[in-house]
Amino acid sequence: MNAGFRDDPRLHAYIDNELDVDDRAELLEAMYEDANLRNQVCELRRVKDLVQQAYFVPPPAPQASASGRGFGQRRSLAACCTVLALMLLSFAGGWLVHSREDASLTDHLAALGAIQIDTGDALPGEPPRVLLHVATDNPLKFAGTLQQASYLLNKGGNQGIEVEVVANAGGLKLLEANDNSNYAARIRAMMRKYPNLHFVACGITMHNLEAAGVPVDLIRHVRVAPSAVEEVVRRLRQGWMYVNI
Amino acid sequence: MFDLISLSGQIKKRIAEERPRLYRMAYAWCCDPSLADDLAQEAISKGLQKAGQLREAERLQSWLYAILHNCWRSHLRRQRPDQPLNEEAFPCDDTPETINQRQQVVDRVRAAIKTLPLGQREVITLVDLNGFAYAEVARILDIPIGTVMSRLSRARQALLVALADVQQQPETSTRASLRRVK
Repeated sequence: MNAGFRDDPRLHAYIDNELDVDDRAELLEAMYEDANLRNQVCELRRVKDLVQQAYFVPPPAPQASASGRGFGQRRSLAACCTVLALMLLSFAGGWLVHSREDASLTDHLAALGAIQIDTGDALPGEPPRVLLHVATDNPLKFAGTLQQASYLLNKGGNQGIEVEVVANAGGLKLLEANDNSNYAARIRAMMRKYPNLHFVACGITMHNLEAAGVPVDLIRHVRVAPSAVEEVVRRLRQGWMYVNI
Repeated sequence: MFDLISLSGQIKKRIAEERPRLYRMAYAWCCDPSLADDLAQEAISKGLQKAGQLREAERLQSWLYAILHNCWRSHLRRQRPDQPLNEEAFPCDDTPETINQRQQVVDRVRAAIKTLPLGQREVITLVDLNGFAYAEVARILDIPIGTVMSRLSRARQALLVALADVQQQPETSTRASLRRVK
């Protein structure tokens, strides 16, 4: 494997969602043709996954009373009460990512930076198919992903739209069957409501988590693909649009 | 007026909700649960005090992590008041032996991250753990974006080498086809 390729800043920028739409499309096309390049991206993605998984469950913080040094001394009951009071009094936050209710589906996808590779065999009038990719455990991105999926499914329902959400690395938390997770409850409801909505977990992330002894209980009917990168490339080959959230 | 109060309340709620991730980031930097908890607490406390100064709510996260970074740097300065901070040789008291009860892969990765120079460790954890954009990391750490990218690249190269045997692809036979869980 060409180790020098790994140093290409474009590959790092791709896995960190830092490429602009044109550069990302160019790299995805290159990955589409070049298995070695896909492997390079997978390798870097695995390192990113491993970093995330190393802190998936950080060691618990010691009890405040056990901490007798440093900043621990600065804690006060008043500060704790302030935080609690603020949490109780504050208003529930809405999603920060707002859908563009006034935009057409095509415009909306363009605004999201959707990428589609021209495979040459796409038929005119085919229903839109969109892959949404989430790779971090940022709550704003989780909320944005589900909101975008809902928006696309509502907007494109008459056109027979298909939407798939692919999650890897920290994004896998979105697909965990956690009883206390609002996301899990929302995803289950969305699955029931939209038969043309699919959720896919990254097999590499699953493997790394299992190897690290971190059990992952996925929401029922979430599919596990060999890797997020492979899933993206596979869907691009099938003419899907790709959106990195 | 009501909007202002409401906005401020939401910001404070978001600050408080960020605590677990602040703790995780602080732990990734300092490798010490007690210290990480203290740093997260101090960042929350300062963030709540200064919440009124935040004019762009969408920048709350990078603003909060910049506060955490300042707390962390202040701690380092207090620890070594007579020595200039050498980012490339920051030692870590925690060793793999002290955490051997944890899972092997996690230990290996954390140990590899600990051996990274401090600047690289900060960059890779901000990007990989919290998904900050390069520009946000540059703002948080107050360094040029080119430095962010070069530190990130060097950090990943080092981890690729250090974790080479952890990097093996899963067995083909188990990954050849899609499978459904449950």
